[in-house]
Amino acid sequence: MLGEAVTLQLGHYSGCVGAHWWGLQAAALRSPAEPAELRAAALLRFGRGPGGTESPAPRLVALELKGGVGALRPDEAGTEPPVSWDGAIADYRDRDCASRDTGSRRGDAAGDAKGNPGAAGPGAAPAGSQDAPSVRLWSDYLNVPLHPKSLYVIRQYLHDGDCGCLEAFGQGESLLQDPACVEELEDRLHFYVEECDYLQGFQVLCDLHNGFSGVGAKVTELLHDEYSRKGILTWGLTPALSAVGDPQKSFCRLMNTALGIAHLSRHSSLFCPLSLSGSLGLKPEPPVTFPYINYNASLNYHSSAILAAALDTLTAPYRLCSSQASMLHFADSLTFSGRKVVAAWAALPFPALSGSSLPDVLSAHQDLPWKLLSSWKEQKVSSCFAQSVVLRGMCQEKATSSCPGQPRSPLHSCESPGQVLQHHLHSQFPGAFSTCQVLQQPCHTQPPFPQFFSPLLSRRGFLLDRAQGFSSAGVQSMPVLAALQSCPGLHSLLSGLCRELRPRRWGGSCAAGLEQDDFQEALEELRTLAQCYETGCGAAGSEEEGDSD
Amino acid sequence: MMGPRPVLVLSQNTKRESGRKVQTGNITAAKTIADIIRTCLGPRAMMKMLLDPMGGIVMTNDGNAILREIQVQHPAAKSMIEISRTQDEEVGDGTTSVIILAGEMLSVAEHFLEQQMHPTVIIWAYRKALDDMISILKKIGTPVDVNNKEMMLKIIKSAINTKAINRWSDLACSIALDAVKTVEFEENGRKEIDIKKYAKVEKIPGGFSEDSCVLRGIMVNKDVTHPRMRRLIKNPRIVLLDCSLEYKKGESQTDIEITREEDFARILQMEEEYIQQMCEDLIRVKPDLVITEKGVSDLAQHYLMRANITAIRRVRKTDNNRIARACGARIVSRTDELREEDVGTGARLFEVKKIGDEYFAFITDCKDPKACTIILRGASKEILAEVERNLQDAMQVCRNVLMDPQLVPGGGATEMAVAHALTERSKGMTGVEQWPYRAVAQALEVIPRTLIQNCGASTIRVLTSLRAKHTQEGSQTWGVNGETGALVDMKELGIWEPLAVKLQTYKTAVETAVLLLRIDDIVSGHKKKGDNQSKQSAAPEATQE
Repeated sequence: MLGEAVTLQLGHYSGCVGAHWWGLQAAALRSPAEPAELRAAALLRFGRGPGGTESPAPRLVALELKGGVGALRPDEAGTEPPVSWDGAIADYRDRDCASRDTGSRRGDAAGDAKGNPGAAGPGAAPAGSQDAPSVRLWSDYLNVPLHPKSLYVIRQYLHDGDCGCLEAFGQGESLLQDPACVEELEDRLHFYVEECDYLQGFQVLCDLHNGFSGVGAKVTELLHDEYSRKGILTWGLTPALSAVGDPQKSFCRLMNTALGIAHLSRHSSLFCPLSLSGSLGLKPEPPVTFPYINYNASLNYHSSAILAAALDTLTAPYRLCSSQASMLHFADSLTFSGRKVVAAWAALPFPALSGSSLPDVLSAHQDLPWKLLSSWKEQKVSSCFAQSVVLRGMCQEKATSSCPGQPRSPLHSCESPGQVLQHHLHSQFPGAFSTCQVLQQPCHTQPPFPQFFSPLLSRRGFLLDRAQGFSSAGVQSMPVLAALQSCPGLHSLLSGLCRELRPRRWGGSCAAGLEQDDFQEALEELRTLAQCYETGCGAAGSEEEGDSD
Repeated sequence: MMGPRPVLVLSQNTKRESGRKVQTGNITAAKTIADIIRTCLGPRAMMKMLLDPMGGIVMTNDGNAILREIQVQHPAAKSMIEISRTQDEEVGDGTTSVIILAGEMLSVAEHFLEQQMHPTVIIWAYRKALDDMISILKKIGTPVDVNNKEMMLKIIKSAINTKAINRWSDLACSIALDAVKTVEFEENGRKEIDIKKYAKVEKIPGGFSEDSCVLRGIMVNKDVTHPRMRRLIKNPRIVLLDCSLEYKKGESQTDIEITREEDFARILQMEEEYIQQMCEDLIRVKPDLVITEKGVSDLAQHYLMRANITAIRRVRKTDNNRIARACGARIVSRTDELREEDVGTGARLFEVKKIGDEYFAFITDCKDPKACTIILRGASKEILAEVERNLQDAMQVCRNVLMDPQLVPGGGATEMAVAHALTERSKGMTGVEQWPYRAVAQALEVIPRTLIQNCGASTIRVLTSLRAKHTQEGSQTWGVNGETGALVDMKELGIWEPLAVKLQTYKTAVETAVLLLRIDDIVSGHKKKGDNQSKQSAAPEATQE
């Protein structure tokens, strides 16, 4: 089913993840080697660029605070330039801008290497691709042009500073009660929605840790009311949190998160918290680690890149050329019985030796090698109600058994990689409703994607037996396995949030603009939501699982 | 032979304090907290302006509200703050007095600790004093007729006089009394006054303070869902729902396979029919107004509008409960179970008004409302917040009197009377306990003393003459006039406080003092901040395979 989706980025961290995500998609468009499996048109619109060439721009509405976004590169400022001046102007600013840009980046990268030679490591080589400290805002690494209607800067609040920040849920909510702001947002939404042939739905990327969770709550409510038959997939993003913070601030964050989850899941078709942080609660936990990635959790540039790669893979089912499923259908298959919150898992990169086959890799691991991206402590995969799994970048020829003789395991006897994965999932999660997709196209990790990979990876992201000698190209692409799961572990996440909030006394600044009744109601909602994931009372739980099969 | 080697029992990052140091530390902490809000007692109280880290402003002289905003480290200080909150939740008044009293109780105990008196002795004496205080208080208490409106207003006024809203205290008193009388609910001899649930304060910045009022009904901050729905209905028939008027998805995983185009059309049609059916169920009981806690789909809005029914969606559950109590409707969860008796007909007027930039729905003029909305108007958000806090206190006082119609004189008269009685009793005691027992009496004098201090009169002179006054027979009601600092008979001035508040204040203060005296060891297991941080940042790099 062909269909387009409109993306909304609410908040700064969402902007970071979004910037990387658009970068990944642009990289996939640029590499013509593989057949295009994902429909670029699902998320991108093709406007007329300078000189009449088609240039893709995301179908995007991004809300950002004052100071949260830097200058976009001039050639990205718009896709409809004055027609008569195309040639000369395009030339000048391209050259000018490119030289300035790489110059500054190279300088910064050099400074970085000098100051901290150990950390820079062997992967530091490609100039401009390393994590230069100049990369501060997401506009610094956004490499696709934005439509002029995309960016909406909210002037009432500041991105950075001691005061005047959008800190509390209530502030965000009241922001979208301002008629001027709502009108602005609706204008932009209508512009994109009207040029769609068949609108599937909306993807909302929303910061959970600050006042944008309140903005998200109101935006999803608006979408739910205005476009009731469309899918609304909401991703609640939280940056990897610093270990110890001001208790007041971290309580504020907890409250934003809890209220955000309650409201966002109420109006969305599907809600998924995404974060590299080990916990969303008050007590900090160390961030998630990946065996082949050395990232700096305190850099948004790094952590958002990982989330973007996961997001690009997770959203594949409704962007496939061959797929029949729309966003709403996709959401429905995961969220039955009121379980609107799902957890995300990802293996980045999917740990496969170069040249090994999919059955070999899967049977080599006891559990699936993925990591949880939804911030709760318990990492053990026990069971789940429903899941959608996507594997990309494992090539077709390697899928089936490498040695033509006797199949070594049931996995080896399957014909297509899709069947292999399905079979494996069935044995790992008996009774769960699993759908899986296998894509050949890998996840492209050229700059501006950070080169934070372990030297044990080849150019195409497969494992090597020994550390790679220095290669100038870095890792160009990687295979990824990612899944959305509706699983009992979410009970601990949701009820944990309730538990931490309940004994707190009401009041203080976090409550700005929020009524106590609303807060109690949201808590109650979270508790109800948590109960949906309970399996303790044996019979009922197993019965539901039986039904879903 | 081996010398005594230090044995490590506690983990290294725990901090431990014990003995006298802890007791003096606790007492100092309690005194510090008490000193913060000492100037907030009485009608001449000072306001505090608090800036929170987010830049918000709180202006208040309410003890609880002040302490809530400040961040403290010491565990004893934390428990002091906690008691003002308990006091606020329990009786809603006397939050400042309880802190000052508890601080004073502890500071008089310090003296005995220095003299090497064992804390258990002090605690025993304190407990004995508390028992006696309660019995004395009950003796002093005089019953009041709750139906005497003038008397009730006077009582509320004495609570409000110490607050910021005393400039228009008459209005505030009548608002508080009206609201509480409205939500008073008696059923099978069980009296229920739930202010929190059924008397809602809505603050709308703008207008004059004098425009504030109690509605005979409810107001919610909502507009009708469809612009062509009626915004003014006389004698509305109201239906309350807690289900959505949208197509409901199945509870379990469903897969539908469709082979023919007609089937697909049929499915769409069924969804429409489902909504139509719901609306027909609604229309059957002929309502004028439908209010739901959940959403209303466009199609449902269309059907309702055609039937000339106004709909309001996404009302808070608590608001819905209030509307139900005000207009006599019953909240229904399924439209097909709607019956005639579920419809609320108690309200005489439904109206949507635009105030400022926002729309407000009023359901007013109810016949016998058991819930109400109090509308506060005023210059700014901060002022409104303070007025709301004061009004809440006033309503609490009113509720306390209605629940337990016993009064004691205010203005420090009760404290002086109790102190005097305790001193008399201590004379009959033998043994060392009599000193801490007498110290409790002395500690009680802190309330009149602070009152005198706060209005700038001479503390020693006024207090001595007050003490002398209380030795005379029949002058137990003499206290301090908080405005002038002069001695006055509270019976004449008409300053009364509910007995329940006084009892709670004394109990909480003494219990807290006892609790803190009993502590002789503080073990804190907090890790150092620096450690944790370095561990965190090292983690991602460390796990490389």
